[in-house]
Formats: sequence, structure tokens, C-alpha cells
Amino acid sequence: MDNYFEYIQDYLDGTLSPEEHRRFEHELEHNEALHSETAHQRTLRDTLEKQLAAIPMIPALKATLKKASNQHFGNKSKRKKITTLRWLAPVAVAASLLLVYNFLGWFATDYEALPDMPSSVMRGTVEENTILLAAEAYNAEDYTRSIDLLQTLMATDSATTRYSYYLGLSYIGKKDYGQAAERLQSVAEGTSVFADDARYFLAVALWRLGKIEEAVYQANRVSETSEYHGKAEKLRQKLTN
Amino acid sequence: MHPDQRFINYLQHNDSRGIVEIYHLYADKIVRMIRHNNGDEADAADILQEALIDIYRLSADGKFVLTCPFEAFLVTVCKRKWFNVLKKKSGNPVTKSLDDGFTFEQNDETEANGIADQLERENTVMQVLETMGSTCRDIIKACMGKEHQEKIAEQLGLTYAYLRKKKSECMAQLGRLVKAHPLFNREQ
Repeated sequence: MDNYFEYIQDYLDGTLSPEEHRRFEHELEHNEALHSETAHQRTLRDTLEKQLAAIPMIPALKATLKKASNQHFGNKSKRKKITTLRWLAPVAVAASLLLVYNFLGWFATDYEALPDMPSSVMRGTVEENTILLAAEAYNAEDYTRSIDLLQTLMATDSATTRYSYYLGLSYIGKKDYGQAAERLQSVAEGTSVFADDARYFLAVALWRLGKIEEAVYQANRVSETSEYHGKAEKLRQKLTN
Repeated sequence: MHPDQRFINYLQHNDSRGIVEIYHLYADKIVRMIRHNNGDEADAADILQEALIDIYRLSADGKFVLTCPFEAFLVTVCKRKWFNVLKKKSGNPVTKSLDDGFTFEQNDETEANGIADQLERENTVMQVLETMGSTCRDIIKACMGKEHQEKIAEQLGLTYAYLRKKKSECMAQLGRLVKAHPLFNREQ
């Protein structure tokens, strides 16, 4: 069955047409692998839906448990204290070494290390080829070419955040921080999946442009769930110290 | 449904009096079990809190039905958690049986182990999700809510067609990663 997984998701979402639904259920009855995968996906979705819906309540529950725990056990944090003491000496030594190494520049953070651009195909033929070429150029660090191609894509589809994001990153790669900041600004202000990462790279571009306060502001906006949160925090500390 | 279902309800409703009762009834038993296995009271307090949060998450949608005494279930979850802590501590191996101090009916023990298995499987799914790339993680999390997917696509700055395709790819990837996990692998 073509688009195997898309059919499973659409079936579970209830978005198949009546005819597709009937055909899918018929296939389910006769195709053991499809039946097994659909059951697995259904279990995953049930688990995810339940567990994700539970998350907002956890801080309040933790507070109640902590209160009951303190009431029962008293405020004991023996394990943490022992652990701290046990690790304090080696950590102190390691921290000293890191300071020395960092002073020597051995562990300097590469704030401009760029992520790869995924080259998976999602669209129609002409656009599809351009995306592939843009991704190839970008991943090969040929930013002049990736900028050209991404601008071509944006000329026909300016609403796709992905293009703006990788265009901004291409300008970072080319060290054209003014253009990078301009392209990343709208992504950073949006709600797309790229927004957090764009805030980090916008902070980098603003830093390079000497706009320290704005850079700190953007670095502060990178949420803890972003894989760039650690780097953003380092950058913020670097700029405020 | 077991009469001890009320303890599950206490957690679901964040009932502070009910939760105090759970501590009153079971905390010392967990302490005894953990002390007997190279731990102390502070370890027990941490393990008990983690176990109760996991039990809440397992039962959060209100569909979970307890089929054994709460004590058997709680002890089993705490025992497994502590066993994992001990396994991670090199040079501090388990020296005694973690069953020390507890005797449950065979049926209750089997039921408790079955529910604890389910809890571990669900925790594993969530852990695997967190290891995925941020794009897949964000799409999966966004799509598991009640909101319509066209609205989600708009919020994420994606086209509806791209979101659907990407979601199915991400769910397929999650499915593969979960199946490859030792916890699921050993069951096949």
C-alpha cells in the first residue's frame, strides 16, 4: 500500500473518505502487518494523548506530594547533600581545568554552528527540485547558492517559514549578519516550530552587529525546550558579563 | 475494580488529604524496603514521589482501573525504580532480594507486575519522544491535542499537507524507535 503510514494516520484521525475508510478496513482484515502496525500506532497515540494531557497538572501534584512528604519525612535532602559533597572535589578540579582550557580557547563555543537543512521532499516537482538543490547547497556550505535558491522559492511561496529560516541561516553562514537578522526576525516573532531556533540565531546575528541589548533580549526568549537553550544561555552570560 | 481505586482517585484529583493518607499508610513500608537495599529515608522519599507521579500519569485520563491492592502496585513500582537506581550506581550492586519484607497474593503480584509493565512502557514512549528531533517532537506534541490539524498547521507556520505528511513520518519514526527499545524488543 502506497503512503502506508499516511493512511494509518488518516484512518486513526478519522479523515479518510467513506470509500477509503472501507478499503482500509478491508485491507486491515487481510493484511496482518498493516493490522499490527495500526494497532501499534493506536497504542502510541493513546499513550501520547494521555501523557501529554497530564503534564499541566503535574506541578500542582508535585507541590501536594512535596508537602505530604515533608510532613511525613521532615525536610530531608540527605542524598543530595552527600552527593554534592562526594562530587564536590572532582567537580572543583574539573571546573578549574575547564577554566584553564577555556582561557586557552580549547572549548570555545561555536555560536554560529548551523544545523543541517533536511532534504526530504514534500512538494510538487519544480519546487521539489529547488528545495533539494537548496538543501544540498546549504549543507555543503555553499551559502551564495542556497541564498539564491531559497529566494527563488520564497518568490513563489513567501508564507513558508522554513524557507525564511534557512535563508536567514544561509546569511549567518555567509557572515552577512544584517540580512540574517532581517530574515530571522519574522520567524523569531512567529509561532512556527522554527521560532525558538530562529531567536537563538537572531541573537547571534544581533551580537555580531553590535546590538548587544537586542541580542540579550532574543537569547532570553529561547525556551528551555529548545536544543539551543544552552547556547543561548551561554551567549547571554557572555554578553552580560 | 479494586476498592483501593480511591487512592488512584486521590492522585487524579490532587486530593491533599487523600495523598497524606497514602504517605501515612505506605511511606514507611517503602522506606523499609529501600533501607534493606542499600538506600536511606531520603532515597525512599524521592522514589515514592516519582512513583506517585508516574501512577498519576498512567491514570490521568480517568480510564485506568486498579485490579489489585494499591500497596502491591505501589511497592512494585517503587521496587523497580529503586532497582534501576541501584543498577546505575556502579559499585553499589543489589545485595539482597528486593522482595524482602513483602508478601502479596500470587494473583495480586501478577496483576501489579502487569500494570507496572504498562507504566514502564508508557514512560518509555515519552522518553523516546524526547530523544527525537525538535521538529518531530513539536509536531507530534501539537497534533496530540484536541485542536484541528488545519489550525495546528497555521500555528506552526506549515501547510496542512506538509503537516500531515510530516506527522505521519514522525509517528512512523517514533513507532520504529519504540519497537527497537529493549523494553519492547524483549516482549516480541
